[in-house]
Amino acid sequence: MVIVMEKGASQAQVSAVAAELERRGLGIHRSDGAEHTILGVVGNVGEIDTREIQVLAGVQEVLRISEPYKLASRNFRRERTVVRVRDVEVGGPEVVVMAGPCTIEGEDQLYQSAAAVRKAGAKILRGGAFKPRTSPYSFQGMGIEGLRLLQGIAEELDMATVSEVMETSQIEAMLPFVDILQVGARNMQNFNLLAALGQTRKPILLKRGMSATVQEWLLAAEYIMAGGNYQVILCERGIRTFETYLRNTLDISAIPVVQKLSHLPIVADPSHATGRRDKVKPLARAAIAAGADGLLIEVHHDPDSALCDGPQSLYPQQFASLMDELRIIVPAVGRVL
Amino acid sequence: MADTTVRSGRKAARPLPLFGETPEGELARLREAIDRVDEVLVKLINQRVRYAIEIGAMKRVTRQAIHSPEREREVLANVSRWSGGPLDADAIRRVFELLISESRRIEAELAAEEG
Repeated sequence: MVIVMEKGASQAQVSAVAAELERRGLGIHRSDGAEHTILGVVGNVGEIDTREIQVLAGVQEVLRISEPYKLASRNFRRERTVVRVRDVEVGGPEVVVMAGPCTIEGEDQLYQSAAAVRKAGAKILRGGAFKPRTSPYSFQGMGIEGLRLLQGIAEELDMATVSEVMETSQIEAMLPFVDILQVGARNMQNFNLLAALGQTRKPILLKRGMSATVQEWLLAAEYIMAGGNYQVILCERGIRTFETYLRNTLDISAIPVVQKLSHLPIVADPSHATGRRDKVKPLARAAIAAGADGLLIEVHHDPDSALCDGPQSLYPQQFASLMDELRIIVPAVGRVL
Repeated sequence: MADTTVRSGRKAARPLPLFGETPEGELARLREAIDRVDEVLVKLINQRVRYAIEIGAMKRVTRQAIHSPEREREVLANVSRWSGGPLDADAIRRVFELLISESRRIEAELAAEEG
C-alpha cells in the first residue's frame, strides 16, 4: 500500500500518519519526492480499511499496489532512483560503464586492465575476488587481498569499484574496499544474503538469475530494500532459453519492461550473457539503444592468459573501440557519456 | 574524445599504457573514431537539411514566410545551451549559423526551380 501525502503536507502530518500505521504493526518506508512525500506501507495491509487512512490530515491518496513487490514498484516511487557511487550517478542522464577483468589475478594484471578501461572512459572498475565457479577445481579468487588491490588501483585511477559478494560472512570484510556490492545471478534468490545486504547502506548491483522472471528479480530487489537499503542497481545478464548457441540470451526487452515496472536503474552485462567477445559489442550497443543506464563489461589486458572467462573478455583496443561507438549512440537516445 | 586525464590518488599515477601495440596503432584507432563520427555527422547534417526542406515546402503550401527569425533565434539558443564543451556556446552558434544559411540557400534554390 502506498500513501501519497498532499503537496505541502507538514512534517507533523506525515509523522502522525506514520505513527498510526506503526501502531497497527505495519512497516513504513518514507520517500520524499520533488512534490509529494510518499509512504510505502508493508506488512499485512490486506486487513486495513483504506478509508480510515484516507481521512487522516494531509493524506491525498491511498493506493493499493497490486504488484507483489512494493518498494521496487514505480507506483511507490514515481521519480527514477539515482544511485550515487562516489561522484558517479547511475540512473541519471549519464550512461555509466563499469569495466575490468572478470577476476583479480594480481597487481600488474589488474592495473593494466584498469588503466586501459579508465582511459577509454569507464568510471567504475569491476574485478572479482570471490568467484562462484561452476567447477570446484577452477581458480576461486584472491579474496580480500584482491580487493585491497582493487581499491588501491581504483583510487589511483579515480574510479569507483564493484565486486561480487558470495555469502553473508564476507559482507563486513568487503565494505571498506568496494563501492558497490554485486550479487551474482546464482545468488539472486539467496534471501539470507539479500536481507543482510538490506542492512548495509552500500549500493547493490543485483544480477538477474538465469531463470528468473522480471517479477522474481524485482522481488529479490524488494528483499534488499525492505531492510532500508534503497540503492539497488539491476543488471540484466542473460537468461536461459531454448537457444544454446551462446551461453545465455541477453533479454534486451527486460530493460524497457523494468523501467516501466520499477524506478530502479538497470544496466546490462553483455559479457556474461554471450560468453563470446565477438558478440559483446553488438549487444552492448543494443542495450544502450534500448535505454540501459549503463554496462558491465569484462576487459582483460591479455585475455588469452586470463584465469577466468578469457573468451568473453574484450581486448583493451576492442573496449576502446566499443566506447567510441557508444559515444555516437548515446547522444542519439538522449543520454550523455 | 576520451578524457585521458587521471587525477592522482594516494600513490603517484603511473603513465597510462597505450591501447595499440604502438603509438601508431593508437593514432590509427583515434583517426578511425574521427572518421566514424564524421560519417555520422555528414549524414545527420543532411537529414537536418531534409527536414528544413520539408518545412519550406509546407510553408509554401500554407503561404507562410520562409524566413522565420524567431525560430532561428530559438534554434541557436537551443544548440548553445546543449553544448557541454569543449566548444563553447559561441563557437557552436557560429557552426549552426553556417548550417542554417546553407540550409536556407538550398531551400531558395529548390523554390526557384519549382518557380
